Parts: sequence; structure tokens; C-alpha cells
Amino acid sequence: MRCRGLVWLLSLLMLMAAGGLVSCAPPDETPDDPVGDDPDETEELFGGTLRVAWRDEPSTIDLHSTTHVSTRFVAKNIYEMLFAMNEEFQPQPMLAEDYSISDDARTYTISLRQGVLFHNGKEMTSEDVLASIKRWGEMSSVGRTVFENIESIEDLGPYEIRVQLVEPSFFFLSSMAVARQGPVIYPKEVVDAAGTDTTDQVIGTGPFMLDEWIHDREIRLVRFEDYSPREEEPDGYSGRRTAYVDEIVYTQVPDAAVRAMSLEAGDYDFVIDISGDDYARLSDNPDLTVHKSSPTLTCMYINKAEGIMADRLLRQAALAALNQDEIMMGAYGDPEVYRLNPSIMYKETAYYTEVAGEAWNQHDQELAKQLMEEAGYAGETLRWMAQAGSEYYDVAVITRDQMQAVGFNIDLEGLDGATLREYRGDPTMYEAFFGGQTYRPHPINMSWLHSDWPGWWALPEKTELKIQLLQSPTYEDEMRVWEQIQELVYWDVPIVKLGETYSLSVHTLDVEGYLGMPDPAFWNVRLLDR
Amino acid sequence: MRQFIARRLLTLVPVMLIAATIVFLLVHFIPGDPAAMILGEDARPEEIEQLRRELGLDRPAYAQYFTWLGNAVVGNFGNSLYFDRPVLGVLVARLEPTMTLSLFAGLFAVCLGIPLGVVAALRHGTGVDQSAMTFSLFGVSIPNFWLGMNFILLFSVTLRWLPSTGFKGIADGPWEMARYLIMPIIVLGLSQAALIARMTRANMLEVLRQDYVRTARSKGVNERVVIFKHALRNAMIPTVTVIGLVVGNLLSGSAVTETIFAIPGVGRLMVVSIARRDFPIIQGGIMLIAGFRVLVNLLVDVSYVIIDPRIRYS
Repeated sequence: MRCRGLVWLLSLLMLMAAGGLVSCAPPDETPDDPVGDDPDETEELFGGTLRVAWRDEPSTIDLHSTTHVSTRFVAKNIYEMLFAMNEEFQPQPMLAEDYSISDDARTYTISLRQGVLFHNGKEMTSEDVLASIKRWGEMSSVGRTVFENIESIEDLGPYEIRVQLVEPSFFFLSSMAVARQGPVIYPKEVVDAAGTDTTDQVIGTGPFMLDEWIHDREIRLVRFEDYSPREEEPDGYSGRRTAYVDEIVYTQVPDAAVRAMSLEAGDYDFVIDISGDDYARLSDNPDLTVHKSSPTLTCMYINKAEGIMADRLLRQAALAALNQDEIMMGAYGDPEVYRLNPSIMYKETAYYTEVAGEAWNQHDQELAKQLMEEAGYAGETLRWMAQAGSEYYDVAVITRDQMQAVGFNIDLEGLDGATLREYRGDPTMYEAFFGGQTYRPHPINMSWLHSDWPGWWALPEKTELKIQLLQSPTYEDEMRVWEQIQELVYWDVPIVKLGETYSLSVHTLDVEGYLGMPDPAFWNVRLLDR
Repeated sequence: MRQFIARRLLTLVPVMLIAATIVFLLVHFIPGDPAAMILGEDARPEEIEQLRRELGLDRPAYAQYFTWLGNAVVGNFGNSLYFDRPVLGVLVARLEPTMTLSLFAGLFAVCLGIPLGVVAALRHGTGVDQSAMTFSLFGVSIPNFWLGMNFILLFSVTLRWLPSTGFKGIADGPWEMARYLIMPIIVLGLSQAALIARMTRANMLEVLRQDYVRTARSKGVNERVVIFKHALRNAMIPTVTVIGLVVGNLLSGSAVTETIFAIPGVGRLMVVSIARRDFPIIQGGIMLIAGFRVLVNLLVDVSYVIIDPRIRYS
């Protein structure tokens, strides 16, 4: 008996020893996993200043208050939301620990991660989350849309909230991860102090924190030493975020060509947004890596509220006449910087579809003329607007030529950006304007989908489908509704999609770990030369 | 003389206010909504309207003007619509780069332009004269942005001698400042140097034909004395006028150079503020430029007295 017990004990000890050896051994390091658990090796990866050049600094870093793209770029590294999009653009818990959905899909109970600190050292709790989400619901247009379907939000304790929806909505979870004017979490004190005014207190939970903002010169972020990362492997914007670099310094370099040259000169490590004209040269440079990401939809937005293009037949004629291949090639010159497909949502989302796409890129001049005749078009002048000196003006010129070839009479005016933005809000001023819809992960974020946005697509069928989209309980339901909306787009023609252009970012070979997701995020980015 | 200077300084206030009033009328009656620019491309109409109300932009233009005027006379130029920070602070923060660039570009223009013009005049009709004038022709013809981008391509990208963009002030050390500013100084100053060279040459040629110059030479006066004491000094009055115009242009004309070289100065701020319709910044900036012009013109008038003792202001 004693021998058997001794053998058992010895066996147990041997098993424990073997397990200890296994756990101490370094894991396999595959090329996809350059970060090992060896603390010495990991230590070597930390350090350095990532020097980023961009076009334009934001007016604020208060993400609730603006859709400005520069705000989003820097806020991404500072703030976090309850959820974050993975590589498949599905929302994953970020500040949320876990969540459950009731059987009727109307109640979301979200538990929060504990021990998450803000940059001011305060622990994040449910009161911060509630205050931030409510502020977001008042200030953000997406937030207001979401809140139309929220019956109540309850504080269940320091680490749990409950959201009660009016109707089931799969979009609710996506909205908690939307980057554009997203529901980032601030300390309650910041929310209380600012109300719905823009705040200049920049305090988040992200891996980087604001160190200094010298207006018109630079924005400097530093590593947040008390950051609380998730444990999961990085997956898109979700998963573990590690601030390898000590600092990120954003510097304005307004001219796109000079931004590119500055990178080649070694003055920066990363450049956000280069011109398509520089793409070929920089791609051929063996010392640089170019990322094509964050596509922008290039569109002709048609005025459906007033004027001759309120006639659907003429809008259908416009759609039929166009050769998108020629338009995009003529405007951009390099097929590497744009792409063509009929989907109204980007491939980099979960809502890509080519339904009804046969109506796109038809270049059927006979059909166009027939539709114009049916509409009784008598040569009235169509007033178009585009931003002078921009790529959209080039697109508008070629589009105009194609439509004039079938008999449309068009007057194209190039305006400065501020003038265009004012005029597009007046339905008496134009029949169409040209512009882009920058990347957004969910169809409801498309601004032209809303009846009050310039273009004024107020079709009752669309309004009904939009409500259904918001109230779809599952992704599959959402997709079904979205495909119906896309069919409606190709029948009612509120916009004409001309193509998609990539946002081009470039970095040196010293920069490792950059994912190339739509908005540039610099966690998990390492500098080889520190 | 003191009275003259005092009277000219008093004209600063009405000149600045008149300039700001004209600019106020222009920016408020051209299309473009700052609220829409602040909120971004996706802003919905009710959001824009709300921000317009918060910024007071929904008030009648005359009400906005008198509010602004009443504050301006006590030195309060309002807040930037884009940054929500005092206009004066925003402008002052950007003065150092612009004044540094303008000052050194002006010095460069004068130090290059005057000798070039003198040499061209003295070697009139020779290859030296033609080379100098060809050089000055290129100087006035070449666009700033083209020259700047090619400088960056050569000295930053290819040779890696100089940083491509940015600004370092005197606090960062004179050598660092020089490294960052040498290209923008040449780009901004070259066209002005060309202008000064051409004016100097023309004025020198006219003066060198004068009887008193021939008399001085016939009396055996040293040629250097003839050129620098008699000819150049008399040629300087119109040249100084041009230098005054050049210096005045540098402050307002630095926008392109500042944009290319990413220098955070007043010029670049004015350009982006116009694009954003940031009215308070535009008005404050125009007042600054107008005031600077008045001061430069005063300095030019005072210099006439120094150059030509016959000139007196009553």
C-alpha cells in the first residue's frame, strides 16, 4: 500500500515536472507570430518614436462631436469602445467582457471588464459607460438613430449594464463598434463637464494617451503604461493591443506630393494618404510598403427633391449611359488605385453584394436615349457641382462628356470645398454634385441613405426598408434587407456609383506590424530601427 | 520727424479696422458655412443649424460685425471657430515661423539682389550682365511651389542633406534653424531677389549716365567711391521703394512656401482658414498683415531721409 502510494506520488511529481518544463519552454515562433513570450526578446521590440505625416489636423479629438476623418485617425489610438471590429468586420468585445442577448433579442446585458484604467488613473465602471453612450446618443447622428430604438439603458452595478431595445436590432452591436463618430468611452466627469459641447479633455482607455498638441505643428501621443490589454490574439481592431512604440507624433504636411517625398527622404516613418499619382513610384521603391485600404465610394449624388432630375426616368437614363471603366481610368489613370464593382457597400465590410449589379456600368446609350425620350427631356440644363481641383472634378468632367454624348445638356461648375458644402444643402442650386463616401462599416452609416442629407432620398419604400434594416435581429436578416435596398438603389437611382478609390498609406520597412485596416491604428506596430 | 512717425503710427488703427471691415463683408457674403466644415462631411442639416446657433452665426451680419468691432477695439478678436481658442493666441503662435522666414528671405533677397543689380549695371552689355538678367528672369518666372518641390527632391530625397519639411526656431539652435529654413528662404526670397536686381540695375544705369558721375570720374575720384558713394546711393531711393513692397509681400506671400515646406506660419494658417471659413482668424490675420504693411511703409519713408538728406518731412 505504501509502495503503491509512493509510486502514485512519484508519478504525480513527474507529471508536474514535465508540465512545468513544457510551460517554461518557448512557444513555436511562426512567421505569423513574431512576438514570442521570451521577455528579453519582447523587451527588444519596445521603443522608438513613430513619426507620422498627414494632411490636416482635426479641430478636436472629441470623437462624439465630429465626423472629421482626422479626429478618427488619432482618436483610434486613444479611446476604446465596448466593442471593436475584427478582420471580418464583426463586433467583438473590447471594453465589454462579455454579453448576452435575451431570447426576444431585445435585451442586451453587457458585462464590463474590470480593472480597466483611464489615462487619469481612474477605473472604468458602468457609470462612465452609461454617461458616454448617452452623450454619444445625443451628439452623433448614428447615435441618435440607435437611440430611437432604445427603450432604456440600466446601470446594474459597477461592471454591468443592460440595454433594452424597442425592437430587435443586430445593428445595435455593430453601432457599439462603429469608428465614425463612435461611442468611445470617456470618464463620467469629462462627460458631465462638457455636456454636449465639444470637450478638449482627452482621456480614454486606449494604449496611447495624449501628451501634447501644438496646434498646426504636431500631436504627440505617448504609451499609456497602465493600459489593460485583452488577452486574445489581435484580430482586426479587436484582441490584444500593445503599444510597442514610446511615442506617436503626427505632423501636418499639407501637400500630398511633399508628404510622399518626406517619407522617401527619411523624415517620417508613416504617411497617411498619398496621391494616386505617386502610387506607382512608391510601390516600386523596395524600401517602402504601400497599403491600399479604406476605400471611398466615388458618387454622383442626384437631387431628388427639386428640379428635372427628380424624374426617376432621367436618373435611370444617367445610370444607363455611363461607362464607369472609362470614367475611373480617365480620372485616376492607374487601375491600381481604384476598383470597380457594383456593390454599394465596400468589400471590407460584411455587407458586400452585387445584387442588381447588371444595371451598373451598362454604357447603353440607346437605352439612355430611350429613357430620356420617355421622360420628355427637352434639353434642359443640368447644373452640376464638384470641388475644383479635386479628383471628383476630374470624374465629373468625364461623366459630363459621356452624358452629353447621349443628349444631356450639362453645366459643370467647380467650387471650393466650403462653397460646395453650403450649396449642396440647397435643393434649388443644382441637379447633381460629385463627392465621395469614405469608408464606413455598416450601411446605415451611409449619409445619403438619410432623407435629410443632400440629395434628399425620401422614397417611402426606402424609409420602410431602412427601419427594417435597423430592426433586423440577425446579420442574415440585415443582409436580406440590405440587398433589397441595393435593388432599390439601382431602380430609383438616388446616387450613381462611379467606382471606389483606395486610401493609400505608405511606411518604411522599419515599421512592422501595421495591419492596413481602414483607419490607421498604431498599436501592435513596432519600429525595427529604434 | 518724430511727429511724422507718430502721425503715421496713428494711421495703423484706422487702416487695420478698415481692412478688417472689408474682409468681414467679403467673408460673410461669400458662400461657405464654417459649421459644416467643422462638423465634417456627413453632418446632417439639423446638426449644422445647431452649431451655427452655438457659434452665433445665425445672428444678422451687422449684429455680428458690431459685436466683433466692440471687442476688437479692446483687443479681443474673438475665438477661432475651428479651434475654439483666442484668435490672438492662434496668430501669435504662428508669428515666429512666418517672421523668421520672411526676415531671412528678405535679407537673402536684398543681399543677392542689390549686388547682382550693381554688377549687371557696371558690366552693362557684357556676358555678365546678360547672365545676371537671365538669372533674374528665371527668378521671377519660376513658381515657388515648383522650385520648392524640386529642392526637396534634390536636397532631401536624393542627397539627404537637409530635412524636407518642418520648422525649428532659434530656441532649437541656429544650426538646426538654418537646416530647416535654408530651402524655404531661397524659395521665397529668390523671386524677390530677382525683382530687386532688375530694379537696382535699371536705377544704376540711369544714375551712371548722370553728369555728376561723369564729373566725379573726370576729377579722378576712385571708382569704388564713384559707384558706392555717388551712384548707388542715388539709385537706392526707388530700389528701397521696391524693397519695401517686397518685404510687405513676404508676409502675405509666404503661404505657398509655408504649405510646401509644412511650416506652421501665418500664411498657411490664412489659407486653411479661408478654406474652412474661420472668419475670426481671417479677420485677425488680415489686420495683422495690414498693420505690418503700414509699419513697413513707414520704415521705407524713414529710410528715404537717411539715404537722401535733402528729404525732410514736415
